Amino acid sequence: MRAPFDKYMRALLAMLCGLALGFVVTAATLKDGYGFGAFRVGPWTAWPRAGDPDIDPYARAALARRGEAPLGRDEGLAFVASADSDGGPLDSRCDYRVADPLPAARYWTLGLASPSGAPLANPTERHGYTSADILRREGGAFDLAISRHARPGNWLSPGDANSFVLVLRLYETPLDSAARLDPARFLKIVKLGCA
Amino acid sequence: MKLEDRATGLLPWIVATLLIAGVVHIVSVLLTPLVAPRHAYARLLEAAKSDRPANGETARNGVMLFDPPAPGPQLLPFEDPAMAEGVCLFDLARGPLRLRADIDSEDYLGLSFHAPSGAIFHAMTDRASNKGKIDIIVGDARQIEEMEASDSDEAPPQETRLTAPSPLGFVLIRALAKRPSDYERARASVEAVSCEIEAEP
Repeated sequence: MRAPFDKYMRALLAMLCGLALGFVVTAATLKDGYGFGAFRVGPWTAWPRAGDPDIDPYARAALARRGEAPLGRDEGLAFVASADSDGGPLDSRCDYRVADPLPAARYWTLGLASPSGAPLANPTERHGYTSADILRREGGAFDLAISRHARPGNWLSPGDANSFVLVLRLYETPLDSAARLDPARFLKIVKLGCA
Repeated sequence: MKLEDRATGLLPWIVATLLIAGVVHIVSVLLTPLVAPRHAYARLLEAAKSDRPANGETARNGVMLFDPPAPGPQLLPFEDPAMAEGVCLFDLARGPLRLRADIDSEDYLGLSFHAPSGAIFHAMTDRASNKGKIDIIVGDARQIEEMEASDSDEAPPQETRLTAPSPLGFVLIRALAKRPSDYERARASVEAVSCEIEAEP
């Protein structure tokens, strides 16, 4: 009489374990990123498919969970970096230098945000630069300093936040996200030193 | 021998567990856009409904303007602080949405058409305007079909017609402020966009 009862218990256990495992896998896949189709260049990551009408279910679920409305692929492409070009995580106690070159775009903006995508409180009340208002050297190249302490030229401060991400948005860019891009021909994030 | 027996006895249960896990995973990913409590449309609707919107100004021309970016959580995460933004919420059960805009500046203006989950079904910029005008109708499949049926052969339709994948959704309007001092001007170009419910033919 024990055997059938045993089987029911096993079936129940299999169901509960399957349920738990399924939800854990879903939570893990939606935690970071937008499923598949990441476009990585050095420390920068963009998700071209999240802004495409041909979106996949993982990207759709990730967008809905975070309440985001992405840029359309025809509008532009947003790159996020949470590490420097050597792979170390961005730390607001450190100073960084962000430097050319950039792919072609009608306009671009480069700014700081919290890892959850909110503007950061900082003494300058500046959250980013655009391609029109960044100061350039002769020839068009530019440098951007990221530091808690005032710097001459283009400077962004992460304020008192512990961690931050860099967001680069290329508006109307002919950049082909299917191509493999050389990180040397993309914005570099160089750590200069830490306080 | 006994261990082997146990292993072969457990194998079907392990397979069953993995199968259930797979089904639960697929179903939960597909259902997330429907059940997520704070998806983009829910956030925008909440801001539009509240009397004194915390993050959005009262609607004008059917467009709800976002507050200028400030530190701390915004209406939608990961929006560009260099953009002045506004949104038109639509419910196609009340009729198709007609969006009109006159493009009179050289600066970037982006329009993206979203399902409630935030997924995009169409996007365009000011570059896609027709002689400085943008004229778009968003409808469901039936409304668009009816419009096409009532078209006359002599006068081709002037507007762009979009079929929305779901009756609810929103259109995000983003205008670039090239410099912080341009913000008010960018905001005015968002305000110049009009969204109205079109009477059905």
